[in-house]
Amino acid sequence: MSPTQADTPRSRFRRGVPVTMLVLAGLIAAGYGLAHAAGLRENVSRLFATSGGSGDRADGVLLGGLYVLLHLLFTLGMPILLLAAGAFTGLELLLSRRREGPPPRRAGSISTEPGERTDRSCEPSSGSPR
Amino acid sequence: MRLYPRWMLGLVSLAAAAAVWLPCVHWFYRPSAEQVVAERGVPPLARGIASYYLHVWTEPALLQAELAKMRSANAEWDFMGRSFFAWALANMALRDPSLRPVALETIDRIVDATLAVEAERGMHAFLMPYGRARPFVQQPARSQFLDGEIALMLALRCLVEDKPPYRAELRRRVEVVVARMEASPTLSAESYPDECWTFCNSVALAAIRVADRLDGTDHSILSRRWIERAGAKLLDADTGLLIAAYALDGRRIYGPEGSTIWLACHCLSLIDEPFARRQYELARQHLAGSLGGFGYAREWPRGRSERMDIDSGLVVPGVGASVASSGLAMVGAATFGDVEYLRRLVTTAEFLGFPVERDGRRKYAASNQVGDAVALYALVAGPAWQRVRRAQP
Repeated sequence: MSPTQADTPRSRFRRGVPVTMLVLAGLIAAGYGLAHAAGLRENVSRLFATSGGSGDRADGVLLGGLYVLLHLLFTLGMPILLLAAGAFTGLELLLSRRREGPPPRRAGSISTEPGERTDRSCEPSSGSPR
Repeated sequence: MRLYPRWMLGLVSLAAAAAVWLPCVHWFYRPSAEQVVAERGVPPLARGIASYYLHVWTEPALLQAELAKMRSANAEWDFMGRSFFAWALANMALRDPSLRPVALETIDRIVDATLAVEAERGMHAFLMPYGRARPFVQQPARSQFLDGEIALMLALRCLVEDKPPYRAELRRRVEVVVARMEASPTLSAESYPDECWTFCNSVALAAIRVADRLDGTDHSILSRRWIERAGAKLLDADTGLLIAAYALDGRRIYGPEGSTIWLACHCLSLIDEPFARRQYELARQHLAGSLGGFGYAREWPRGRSERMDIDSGLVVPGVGASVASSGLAMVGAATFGDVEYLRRLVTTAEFLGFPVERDGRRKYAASNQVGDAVALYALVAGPAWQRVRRAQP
């Protein structure tokens, strides 16, 4: 990748996006959606042994446990991943700008040697109205 | 060279996101005050739970399946599920007259079915197996657990609308309960052999009070003596809370427990409101908690760790939150108008109770019949106690 390509705002944004976080969030949402659609929520009672019954087989307990895990991941983990992805992107952009320093000088611009002032408006006026 | 590695940025982002999100989660599950508290009528959440169990009690196959599930886990749960549901229905009938026919019909079905089981198989049909481990001290053997809760079912049914056979059964049962309490050194009767429970004796006192209101009798001296005796002998030295269980002679068996104290406060509020309110405040101080906006209640006061048992239900390690205590804390909070705590507890139920709603019928997948019935009772309790209080001199 040439330095010119790497420095475009778009490429900086792409580098800053934490794809893993977004993929994980998507997988959690898909898994929870599937578990919910498959009716695994009903198995939660077997996990907490609140219903008893001869039908409380190990697979029911496992499915109940899987549903609770996905529920917690969906309600707690997924939003955190999405928010973290946004924060990460913002931080990357911010830090990459800092690393690069001030924008390059344009040709013909006024010299900005250290200590040299360029802001004309701040220069002391030679002909003060007072 | 990068100033910060990506993994470090990732960790910082995750920590910041968690700090932002976790305190906000409860807002998505928090019910409005109107959903859980209603001066008149039945709050929407309660309506949904009641619809599910009214459906269960009108479908014999479904009912048998539900009861069999309860009994295979704990026979007490089967019984308590009936009691709390019947008490809730009586309060619903007082809140909304249009619900009266279906509520009374279902209460009668519950009472008849319960009395039939007791008559056919005896009290042990609803007790845990250790009820047979040794003889009861008071003879003939009876359980205050059954007598108190059945008496309260009958009393509340008759408070909504009189039914002579039930009134007769109520009088008979109250006479038995009073005689056994009067004969006990602690003024408490056994629920299990040489085991008196504050929970059961508080329920019995409330049932006696409602029966007094119905029949014009007066057992206020017994009630007052019980409160005095409890204040002198049954308080935990460290917390000031009523202990949960004691021998017939008053020896402590179990210290304060959340699964007992919240309902005891509710029932005793009918007997001695200041005493009950003080107990509720102490229970709030020693057992109530909140984490990120989610309310919970501990089974045991802070610093005391005991093993999970059938009464505590699941106890969350570290936090100490108990499923049973948290459910019954709703009843206490509703009784004493602690709406904020009630909303926090319901928030937790909405998040971790895994509500399942279909056709307007609601149940909590992580709960069972007794847990749902307790939640329902907490949301509708009030009118029956108010009606009894109105008649107090």
